[in-house]
Amino acid sequence: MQEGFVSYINDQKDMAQASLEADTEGIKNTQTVIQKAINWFRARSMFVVAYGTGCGAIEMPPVFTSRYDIERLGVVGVATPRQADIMIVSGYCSLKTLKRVIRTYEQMSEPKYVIALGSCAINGGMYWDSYNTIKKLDDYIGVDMFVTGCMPRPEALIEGFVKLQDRIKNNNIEPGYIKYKEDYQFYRANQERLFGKNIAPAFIEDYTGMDI
Amino acid sequence: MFLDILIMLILAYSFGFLYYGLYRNISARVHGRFGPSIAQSFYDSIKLFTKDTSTSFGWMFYAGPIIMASGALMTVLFIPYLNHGDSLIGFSEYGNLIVVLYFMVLGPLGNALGVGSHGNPFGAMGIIRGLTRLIGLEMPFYIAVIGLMIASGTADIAEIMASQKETYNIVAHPLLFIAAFISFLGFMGKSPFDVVGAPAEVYSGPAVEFGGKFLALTLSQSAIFSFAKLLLMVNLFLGGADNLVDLVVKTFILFLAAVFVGNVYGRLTTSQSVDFLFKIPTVIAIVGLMFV
Amino acid sequence: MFNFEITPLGNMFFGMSLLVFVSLFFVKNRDRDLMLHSLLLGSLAMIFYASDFITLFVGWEIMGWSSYFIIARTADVKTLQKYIVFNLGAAFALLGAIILIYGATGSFIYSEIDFSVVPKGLGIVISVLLLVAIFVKSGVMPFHYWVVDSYDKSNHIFSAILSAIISKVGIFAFILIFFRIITTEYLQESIFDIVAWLGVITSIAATFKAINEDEAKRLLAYSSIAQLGYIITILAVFGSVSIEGALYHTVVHTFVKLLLFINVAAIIYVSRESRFDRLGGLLYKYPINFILLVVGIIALAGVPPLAGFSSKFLIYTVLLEEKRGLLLAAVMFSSASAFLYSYKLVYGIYLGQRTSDSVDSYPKIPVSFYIPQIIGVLVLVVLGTTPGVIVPAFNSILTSIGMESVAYESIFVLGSNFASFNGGVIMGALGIIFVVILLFFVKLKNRAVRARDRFDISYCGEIPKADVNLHYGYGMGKELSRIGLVKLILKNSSHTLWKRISQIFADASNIMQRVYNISAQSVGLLIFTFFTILLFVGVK
Repeated sequence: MQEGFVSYINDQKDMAQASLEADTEGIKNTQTVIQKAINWFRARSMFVVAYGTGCGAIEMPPVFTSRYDIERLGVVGVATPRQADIMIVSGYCSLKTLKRVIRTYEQMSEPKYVIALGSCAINGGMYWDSYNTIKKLDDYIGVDMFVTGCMPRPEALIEGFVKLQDRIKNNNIEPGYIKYKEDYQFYRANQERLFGKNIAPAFIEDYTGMDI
Repeated sequence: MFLDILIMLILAYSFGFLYYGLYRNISARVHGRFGPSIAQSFYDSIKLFTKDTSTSFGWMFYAGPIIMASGALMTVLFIPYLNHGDSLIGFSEYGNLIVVLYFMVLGPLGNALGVGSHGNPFGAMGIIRGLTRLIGLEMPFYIAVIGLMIASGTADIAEIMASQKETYNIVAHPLLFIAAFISFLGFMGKSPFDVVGAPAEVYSGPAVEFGGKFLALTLSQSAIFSFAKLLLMVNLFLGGADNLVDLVVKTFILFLAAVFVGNVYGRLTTSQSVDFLFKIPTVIAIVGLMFV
Repeated sequence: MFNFEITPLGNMFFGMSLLVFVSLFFVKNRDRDLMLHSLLLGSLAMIFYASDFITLFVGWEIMGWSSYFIIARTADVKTLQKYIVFNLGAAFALLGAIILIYGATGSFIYSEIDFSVVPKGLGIVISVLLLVAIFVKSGVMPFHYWVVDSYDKSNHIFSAILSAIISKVGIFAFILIFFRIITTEYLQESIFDIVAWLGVITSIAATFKAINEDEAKRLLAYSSIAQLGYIITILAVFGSVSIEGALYHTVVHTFVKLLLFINVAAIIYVSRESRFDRLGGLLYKYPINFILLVVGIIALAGVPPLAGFSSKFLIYTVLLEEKRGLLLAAVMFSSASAFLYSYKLVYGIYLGQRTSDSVDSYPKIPVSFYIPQIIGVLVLVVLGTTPGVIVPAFNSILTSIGMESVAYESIFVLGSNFASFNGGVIMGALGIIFVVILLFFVKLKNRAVRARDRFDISYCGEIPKADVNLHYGYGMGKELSRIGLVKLILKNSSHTLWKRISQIFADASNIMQRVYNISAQSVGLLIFTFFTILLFVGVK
């Protein structure tokens, strides 16, 4: 996670380590019963907005079909970011797409998680020297789970979901959206490096808005 | 009284969600899938209620789902659950079938106001589809209900239930039942009349800006509301229920019928569905009305 | 010469007119004409309190002409032509009927007319003439041709008066004539089935025309036609409860339309726009006006707990009791479709997105616009909570015109022997449930973040530009025309009918003109022919 280069397998090791370290940190694991219950429900019910940015989009539909049937894990597809908990960014992001990805990400309500699907979203993949795609999605939005492969099989995506569920249930690794909020200046600077001022008004303004 | 109302609402909420979970499960089996757990809808609902943030667009955006939920709750409370007896009747002695029919549209109206207030054109499109479809759905349903009211000589739901001691209305007025059942499919949001919230086409329609607790309230009220519709159909055509077991069995049979029909049809466009509803079920209902 | 009497029926109608006129007196209006308005009010008093047909007719004429001059201040020639032709026609029909009644019974005074001596055929002719007069005033199809333009083109105060009061004169005349003078027993099984169906067809057609309309005032005009259609239908069913329902709906419709027309007038006053594609997104600019409009449309659509439901309920129970299933189905169909135009009205003006950049510079709505609206809202809420409160008044009207009084239990309960409901319980329960859900909802540990601005909508990841049309006000309801039945209604209008009739008249007058233009010889021939015919008739 640290460098955003962690593959799905490395991630697993990380998680095991993190759960060991969690007790020593003592921050994340002091959940009350209610929080635990809430986390369990959050893990059990995931609304996914599947953003088909690149060729990985082809691998997402089979996950919802009869053969792989992700609905049995409580994962359902929704159309709008407002309803979604999880966004899947499938594959390479061109600059034009990235703008929409950021916008969609900012419109999701918290807690929200991002799954980056395929090598291109991790390190640029075969587009590593392209003038028009980004290399590392984690520089622009807070990514929670990387699923490697070119393309990853549906099984890999399902395993990604399962790992994410575990993580949400145990709440032992800081979710991407909190990192995004805390290090907002870093992400914003990266975004502005690509787009200049030609992007949506600052996300942080959302939190100064009226509270009802 | 208070306890009575509370039990009614809890029953409606749990059965509504349980049936919705079953619907997803049965649909999955029809597709050859394993499907989610039966309690999946509860999980969704609780998760949505406990989300950290949600986006609001001002006070009317708040009021919309609340009016909708009030409409659904009032509908449930004005329908007696059981055939005879003093429990689980709610406010039904103060109202009648016409009140219930009109409370059924209070929700859509409140929803329409809330959805309109956020200024997303997809939401308004969904609402217009919904209201247009509602015209088509209400036509056969109203004629069927009118037929029943004329046949039983009363608009009181409890009396209509009592008047079916010997023969259920489904036997006595089969044509009215067929017409009402086709409408009922649409009221439940089942195929082929489920174009309102088309996700890919109008971006979920009315629910486009609802997230977090707003979506949670919308889903909960729709669960309660769908149970209310099941209850109304059972009371009107299946002679009501003598006890809770009877109630569950009858609503479940009706629900299963709706699920099985809904699963084999594609989706009609708004104008196609209204056209169909004007032509076939309405004519069936009018013929049924002639025989009353 | 003129005879007057004070009756409960007249009291009710005149009381409503007085309330409407007084409340409208304060409203800002550039085209106010106090003299004509007071003349109009006087003529209404003459109609409502008349005790003979001459007084009724004179009042009717003064009403027509004073309205004409008020409309003439703002309207164009075409509108005025339509208005005057139809209203003069109505007046002539009324006059003809009065003369026929006098010829048959020998009296103008209501109480002295014994209609049972009139032969059946003549009775039907008289009824038809009277119905034409009533239909023109109330705008029943096909005599509604003048209504929409006149409502639209007159100034905003007078539109409210036209819809709230003047259209009710027809209802008053209906009750007076067909329940008091030409008694129910006399005409029970004749033409009134047709009248009932005419009323409901009017309301269905007008409802779909309203849905298709793009201008706020024209939409309200069509809605007014539709609502009056119900009243005519219910009156044509006969019976005490049907009069009760009709009177109830009259009261509700008067105040609903007062509320809605003034509400729309306020928006037109500040924005100078009345089309739905140029309005929109005014919700947070004028929140009070929005709430008032919502109250109005809830009552208009007949949704509980407001008064609109009480009157619709009576209408339905009457039709159920009389076992008029198909008629009731048609009424309910029209009533269900009314949601669409109600929603179009509120969406087109207040909801959706702004379509104009100058919204921020719109002035405040003058306080005087709120007076009639608040009166309307008070009436609707009170009648919704205590629907039985005006039933005793209706009972006194019913006994005064010689009908049985209707059942009355308490102020909270409204209904007939068929069914009843308790308005107090409905209002109370709905209020409590609303507050409970609101409290639960606000107390949820879930932060609602206010959207950044009006473009912060989920729009497929895009941020819509300001020049993209996001307001759905214009196209709303257009797609309905794809449905066969609706297409049929929208495609046909009474315009063709009246065009053809006016063509016939034009041809006839052409022939007449030719007669007058030709030489003295042929005039002589005409005179000769005339006398010859006279001679033959005389010989016979």
